[in-house]
Amino acid sequence: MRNFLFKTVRGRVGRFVLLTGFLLAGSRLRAEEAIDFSAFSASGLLGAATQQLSNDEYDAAIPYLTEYMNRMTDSDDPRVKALIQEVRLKLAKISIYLEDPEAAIQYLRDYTQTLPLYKPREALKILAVTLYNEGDYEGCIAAATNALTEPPPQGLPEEKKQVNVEELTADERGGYSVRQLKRIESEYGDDEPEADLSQGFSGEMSDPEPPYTEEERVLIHMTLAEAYSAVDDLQASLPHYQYVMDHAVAEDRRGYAIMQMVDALIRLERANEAERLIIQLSKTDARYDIRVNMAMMSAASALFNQGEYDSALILYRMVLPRGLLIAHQEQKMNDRCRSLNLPEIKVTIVTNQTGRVETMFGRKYAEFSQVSTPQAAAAGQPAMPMDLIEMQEAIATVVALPPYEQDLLFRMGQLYGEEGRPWEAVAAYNGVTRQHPDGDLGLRAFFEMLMVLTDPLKEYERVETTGKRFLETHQDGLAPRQVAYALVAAYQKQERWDAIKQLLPVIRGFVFSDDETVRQYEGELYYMQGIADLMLLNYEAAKDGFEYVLTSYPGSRQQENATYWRAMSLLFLQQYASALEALDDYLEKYPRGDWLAEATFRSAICLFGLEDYEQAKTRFTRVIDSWPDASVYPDACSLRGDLLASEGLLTEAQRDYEEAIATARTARQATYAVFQMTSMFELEKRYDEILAAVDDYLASFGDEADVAKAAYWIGKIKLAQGRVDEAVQAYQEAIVRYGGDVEQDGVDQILSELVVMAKRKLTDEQRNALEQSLGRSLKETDSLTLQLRLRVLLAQIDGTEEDLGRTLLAEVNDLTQAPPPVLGLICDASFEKKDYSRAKDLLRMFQSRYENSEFMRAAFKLRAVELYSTRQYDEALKLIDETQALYGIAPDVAWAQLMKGHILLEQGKFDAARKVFSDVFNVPGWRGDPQAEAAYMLGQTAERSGDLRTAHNWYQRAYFQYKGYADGHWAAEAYLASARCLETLGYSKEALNTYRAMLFDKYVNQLPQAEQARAALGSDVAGEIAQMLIDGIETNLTVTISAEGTDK
Amino acid sequence: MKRIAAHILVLSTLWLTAVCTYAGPPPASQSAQALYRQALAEQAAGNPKKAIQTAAQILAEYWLDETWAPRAELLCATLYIQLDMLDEADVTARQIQKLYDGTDTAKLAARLRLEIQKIREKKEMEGSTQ
Repeated sequence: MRNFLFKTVRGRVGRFVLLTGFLLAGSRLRAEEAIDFSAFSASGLLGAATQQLSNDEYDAAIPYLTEYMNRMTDSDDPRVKALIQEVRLKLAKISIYLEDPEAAIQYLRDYTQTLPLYKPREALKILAVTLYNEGDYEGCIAAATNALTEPPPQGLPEEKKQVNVEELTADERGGYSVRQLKRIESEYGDDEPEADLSQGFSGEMSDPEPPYTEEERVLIHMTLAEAYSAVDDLQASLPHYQYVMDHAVAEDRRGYAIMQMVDALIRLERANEAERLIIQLSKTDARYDIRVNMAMMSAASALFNQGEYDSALILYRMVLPRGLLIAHQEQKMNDRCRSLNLPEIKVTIVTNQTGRVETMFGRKYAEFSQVSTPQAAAAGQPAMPMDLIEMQEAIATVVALPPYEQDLLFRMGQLYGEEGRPWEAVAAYNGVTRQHPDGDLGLRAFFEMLMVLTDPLKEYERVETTGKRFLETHQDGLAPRQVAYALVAAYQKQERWDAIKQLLPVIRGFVFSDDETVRQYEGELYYMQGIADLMLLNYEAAKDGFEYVLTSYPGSRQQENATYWRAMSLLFLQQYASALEALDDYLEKYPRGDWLAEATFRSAICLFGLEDYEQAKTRFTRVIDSWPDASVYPDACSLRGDLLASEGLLTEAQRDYEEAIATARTARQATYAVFQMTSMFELEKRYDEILAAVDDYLASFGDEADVAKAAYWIGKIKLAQGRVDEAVQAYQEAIVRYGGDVEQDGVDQILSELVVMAKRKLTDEQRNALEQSLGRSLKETDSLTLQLRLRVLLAQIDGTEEDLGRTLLAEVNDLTQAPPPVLGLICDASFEKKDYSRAKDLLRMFQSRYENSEFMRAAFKLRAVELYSTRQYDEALKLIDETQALYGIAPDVAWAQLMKGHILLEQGKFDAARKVFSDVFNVPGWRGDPQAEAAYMLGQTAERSGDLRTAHNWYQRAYFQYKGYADGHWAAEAYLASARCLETLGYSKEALNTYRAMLFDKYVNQLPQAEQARAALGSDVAGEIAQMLIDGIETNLTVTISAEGTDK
Repeated sequence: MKRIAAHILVLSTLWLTAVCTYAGPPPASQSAQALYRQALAEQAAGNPKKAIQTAAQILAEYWLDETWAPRAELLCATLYIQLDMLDEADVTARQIQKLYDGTDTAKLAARLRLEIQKIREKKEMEGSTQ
């Protein structure tokens, strides 16, 4: 704005400011010389001042003018008073010219408050502009407002007297000759400011001050608008910008006003009006004004921050690149040059010696200024008009700007992304990256592009490929962290937790940085490692990961989350005491945290696990009382209900269950509460209430309800009421009603229940009736799915399911029609026949359709065994991870853990195998067969790694502790392996004793492996042992060796 | 009186070839045209995803091109429809209406929005009858 005002004002009063520096150097020296004013008459003072002014010695005129004012201040002569005012106004203008605005302001204020006031409009106009330039916006507003009233001259003599210079005395002529005064008179009215400034004094009243020209009004309105804007009175600024928009002749000035008005409207959050103006602006030449372009960028940024993305995009899209601006200015300059018969100019582009783009125009401009001296002008070289100078200044301004085109494109990328034009965002970011692949903005654009490709475009493969390629060559700074972050985001969307874990070595390879932003991203990356471990059920690793974030990234935004999830990891590890401590720590550290309700609820679970039921109940109550809107609220109600029920407080428990049902957010929450409540009712034989509760549940949750469980309860109640036929009928109805829907896997649970009922509760007659009825349903239905279900049911009732499985394996070609129990039977039959040909399809069928089916476990196992048996270990390990992610440490998926150990052992990864097998002992649900196998396999691991003593110890443990499991298979194997180790170690006697012990061991001595022991001992010893066993003799043979092997 | 006016600066042959640098000249429309044709070809070949990336490249490089930028915008909106990204298509068409207010391009964008609306209604009907 100051530039704009300056350009405008100087057109009237101070056009030479550019030259002030060299002009003043000499004149100020003269001003300091002592002057003997006593030698001057009053008119002589004015004459001397006029002489100095005519020589452009402006500051030298000041002492004479000041002396004149001092000397004549008490005069009552109207002409003298008018002359003093004229001198005052002149001094104001000179002061502006000499860059002494404070003095100028004082002169102008004195002038406007003193009579006669010949030129109030001019004085107020200059005052307003000067005050604005000095930052006195309130004063400016007052002066400009006053100016716009266009006050008339005041205190003038009643009659206007035409001055006849020829009638003036010599004193009145102030030292001028009549001829000189006439010349001055003829020049008066020239509105060139420099003419005005160097003008002498008439001492008579001039013509009445004319109204402002339109150009002047535009200037004053603009000044006023800008002053209002500067004091944040944006509303007041609007009509004045509007005036400039409506009346400015120059397109660029008009455009600037529009831009300022846009800015004001944006700040007033009137985006719609701003947007209309922006479009208006785009149709003016002002769009080629660099100031307008800069202002547009600024306004666009403000709109962006306000979320006014459409308007912001329009603005950014209107901003012109510097090349276009320069081309436009060049064209304008050449048009002007042609009109002046001057040679045309050509703006060319160069780079410096290193090839780096640099701004050279400024240097050329300096050279150009050096030759632009009065001497050069005096030498008769052609002069450059002011408008050309201004055009050149405009080009210099553009060239001096730092490059902004890429910022522009980057911003457009952001806007496209925010607004939902993802492919345009990708293209914009890609454009920035291509221009500056290793620049800050280019790297940032690359990261943003990856994020858009991830979400919403789901172009995961592209993200992975480009991201990984980038990380191969970038390890330092923010960019690799950001790219890794984008990769993590993509993997997270795909639930590829293993892929996130694979990034860990990459992250660890980053060059250390203590930059705050870098640390933030790094903290996020390690946090996500913890989350990935959590999702992969690697709870120990997850706990360690969160601890790492907590200790190594204390400023991370994930501190709170890491604290909570560390505690949850401990809970998943069933380390209730530690988990409770960690949750309490969270609650203490984050009294306003995001996980308050959940943490309190989980802490109650810990207390439950620690069997501190009273405290658990207190905490459930805290959740219920404090967070009725929390997602865990219904769960808290249910679990408190369980505690109350266990105390016999059935009414209170019922109230909690009912509250849980009423507030359930998911069918799962309601299902738990409903069926816990029905279990409670069952104890009191409140069958009608059970039926009512189940009916309500079915009505409330419809398709989401657990139909099977509901039907199970209905059947059960009827059974309990002695209405066996009705119970059977209810089950049958449910099967026939829902059984044709292959995805209604709840029916499959009813099948299981009906099988149990048929075998245990029904008489032969009833069972026959059921089979006949099911047979009829089988014949009547056209639904292949229902047919398959009924066939499975009938086979299970009469115990022929293995036969059916084999039949179905051959018969069912289209697996899509087969419900989970059928697929399960086919899996079992495949196992039995070691036919893995359909393993992949069976698993895919479950994964795509019956992800929640219990029968899917069999498919996982079948496929894993296939992969293992064909030595596709990597694929097998992936599947195992997936299995464990789904089923965790469920008893029937212990095979996954064991198979993982087997594979690692096959791969020679002894430490890893040892850890995997050892972990089997940490899971209570894996007691029995899995631990028997794990003990034996730990022996195998040690034996293969050459540690025969440790191997022997594990084998011993396997046959001592686990002989009763897996039909003695692992114990038998362990006996043989133990003997083998002892022999290798040179303990032959102990080895034979081991064989003897094996033959005495009733758990294993009938197994095929026992033959090996008999062979080793010989037929005599074996026969002797057999006889001893017949005679009822028992032995307590033990074999002991020390770790060092010293005592045999 | 010696007038110190604006014409004290002397034209010099030095500055007639004033040297400056900037990011480069505005891109030639030929390339925009070539990209546009390429996008159309990709669309015709049944690869709308590739086509929209090419069309979006026009907007990233030639957004001020008065001939090809509006065409590329409309093509993007159409391709979003083909990609069944109706929200994105509608946003694009809406922005075209604003960017090219009062032009045929804006009118075409308005028509596209109507088409998008119809597709949505049809989808809703299909959804409710299934």
